[in-house]
Amino acid sequence: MIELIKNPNLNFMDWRKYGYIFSGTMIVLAVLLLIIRGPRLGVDFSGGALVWVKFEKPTETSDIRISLGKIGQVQASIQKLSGTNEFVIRSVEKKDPAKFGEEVIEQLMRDFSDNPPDLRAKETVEPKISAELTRDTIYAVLLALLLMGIYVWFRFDFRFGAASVISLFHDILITISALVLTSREFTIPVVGALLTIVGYSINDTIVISDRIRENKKKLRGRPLRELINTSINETFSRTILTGSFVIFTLFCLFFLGGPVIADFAFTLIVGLIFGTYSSTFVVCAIVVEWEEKFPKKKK
Amino acid sequence: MRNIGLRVGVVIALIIIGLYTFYPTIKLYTSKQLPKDEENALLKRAIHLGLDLKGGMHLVLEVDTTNVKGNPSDLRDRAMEIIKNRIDEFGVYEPMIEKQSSSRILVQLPGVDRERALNLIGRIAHLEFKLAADEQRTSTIIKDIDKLFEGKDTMAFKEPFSSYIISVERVDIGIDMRDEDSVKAMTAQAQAQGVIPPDLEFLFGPREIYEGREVKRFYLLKKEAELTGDAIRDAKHLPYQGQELQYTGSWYIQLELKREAARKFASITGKNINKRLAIVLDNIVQSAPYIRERIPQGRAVIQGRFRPEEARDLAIVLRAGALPAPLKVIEERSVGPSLGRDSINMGIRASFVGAVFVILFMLIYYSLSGFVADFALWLNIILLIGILSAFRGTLTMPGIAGIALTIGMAVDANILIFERIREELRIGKTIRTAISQGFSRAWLAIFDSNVTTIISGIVLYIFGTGPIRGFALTLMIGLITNLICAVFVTKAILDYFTLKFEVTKLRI
Repeated sequence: MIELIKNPNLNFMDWRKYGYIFSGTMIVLAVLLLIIRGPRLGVDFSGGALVWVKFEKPTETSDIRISLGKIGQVQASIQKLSGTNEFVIRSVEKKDPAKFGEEVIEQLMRDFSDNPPDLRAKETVEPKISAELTRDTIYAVLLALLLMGIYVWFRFDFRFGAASVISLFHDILITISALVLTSREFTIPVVGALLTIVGYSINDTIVISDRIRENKKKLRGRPLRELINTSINETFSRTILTGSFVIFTLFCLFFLGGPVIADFAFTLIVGLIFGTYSSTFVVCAIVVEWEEKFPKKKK
Repeated sequence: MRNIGLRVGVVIALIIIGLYTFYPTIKLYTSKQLPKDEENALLKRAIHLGLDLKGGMHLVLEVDTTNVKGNPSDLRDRAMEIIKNRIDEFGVYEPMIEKQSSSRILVQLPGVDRERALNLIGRIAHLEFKLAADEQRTSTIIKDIDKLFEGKDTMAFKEPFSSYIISVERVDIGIDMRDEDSVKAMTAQAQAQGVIPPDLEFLFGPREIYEGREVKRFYLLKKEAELTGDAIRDAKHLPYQGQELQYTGSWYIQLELKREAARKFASITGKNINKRLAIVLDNIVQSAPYIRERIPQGRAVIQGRFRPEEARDLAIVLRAGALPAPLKVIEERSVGPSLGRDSINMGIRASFVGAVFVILFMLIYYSLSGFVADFALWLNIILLIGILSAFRGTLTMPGIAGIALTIGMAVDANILIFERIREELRIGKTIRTAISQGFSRAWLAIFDSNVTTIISGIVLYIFGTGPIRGFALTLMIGLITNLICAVFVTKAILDYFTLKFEVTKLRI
């Protein structure tokens, strides 16, 4: 029988002070990053147009810029996907994206007739649609958080429910800032990834909480802090095993899944790492803190 | 240990269901060449690929009611009906046309030529037959316009109106495209000042190349249409067989009018011999032939230099009728077929590498029990894809990621169970008790965590569109098959073998 981790007995709850420092710093950095740099919104949320083309023969960004200059689109952002002959062109002007898209395609077809571009994808979103999408997305994320909190409250207790919601905010905020830091675009699939993190992070919390609930009967009379510590240790090998599995699968998607899925996988990787961390250092820590400040009446 | 026979029976049934629903997908995507009818039968039962994997376009159209009277949702319903007919005739495999809010229509067309599809959907196709003013009247009015701007040479109108006019193929007048804006501004002003009588208007033809320049012909037409598109009974596209060189190799449209309209058409043509009757489509003059004789049969042609597919699409659009109001594309998401193909290949490769790693690890880490879990995992993937195909769910790129995540969750469930069994064994429980306790203790945690992820899935499904919905759906089905496979199937198999072979040492 192979065992990577044998009966760990780590004093997680004694280290929670470090956890606060770490989480606190991360949150402050995340907020600063969001304020200073702001998220890079994809066309889904900002409105505008995106045209993604692939050329047969090597082509330079400058050639494309010259071509677009002829239709008065010198400002359009042109991104060359590294290691390929593919370009993603985005409009700066948010108005009338459909027209921008058509004009860009037409102009490229005309100027590169000896090296005709293959249209890989095109997205145009009117600002009013993107405003609706943004609103719906915010609702969706908040609703998911709320439902998770209620579920945990209902299955365990109020304190765990509340702590879970706080930790989910923590995970999402840090993940978003990682996206900002790496200049990744905020798109609908990325939001899908964020909501998956919500589910996953809670999953981790539940496994630990479930152990705590079980141990409550076994270790009657012990302080909550010890109870929680034991439970974290007992589920520790599972946490590490599952975590590394899922992360490995995600790395496969990240490196092999192609550009469409890379941002999605990146979001999940970051979220998963922090989600696993926060189950112990945010959720359990908050519950312990709560108990020490306001002990529940013993039945 | 009760009912072990029944449980093994259920496992076998699951395997059969899984393979039965999964088979069409494998057959369809691995066979190179299939007879058409077999392929169609398989397509109905195989997994359905989303637009992001197959290529295609997703459009949200909004009825533009600025210049049209009427209730937006009525206009929307009528427009939708017409678009449906157009798309049906065009022949798209499994299009989706749905209402969205009060004035929007969602159209999803898998694997179509973008430009043609856009043209087919977005075109209003308002057809009108309009009589042209005779040449003498036209030239008088052009002279009147010249007089109107005489002496008022502002920056915009430096040249006299007539100097912009060129002759196109002797019979027609036209303008150079570069002068279009000036000409349009001048005619608009002339119309406003009454120099162009209120019952007449200038309309342009399509852009064309004439003697090396980009030109547009233009015509002075009666404002009121003699007949409109409602009069059409049928429209056909046919190759041009006549002698005129400019039309050689092109296609034209033959229109057949309804009975009532045919009678009217006969009387119009009879009364206006040697005049021109312009055929105007969406305010662009397609052609303006001279009426040489009375046309009694109710037939007319639209002569243009149409390419065959252009003619075919135009005929479809004319048969289906005009849209009641212009439609604006407020959202478009198109994926080219090449990106779709690349995405599938990369997605499958990535998932495959991930799955192989997971399977190997389980086998090494948990030995024989790991093998059982691996078996359950495969069954899980097969059932997931099978159920998705059977319920006509859609596999999207995020959906492939959803399958990968499901694998992760399944493995998590098995790790939870196996770690638990190990614990029970460590404190000296017998194999059978350890298995049964391991499963029952891990069950609650597994159930709760799957339920919470399903909650996220539901939220995603409700709020998401397209690819994200595909992801949510795969995730939800995956988590249910997880509960079945990772827990029920694994346990049935473990129980069966420990019971049958009197196992004394569990390899876990």
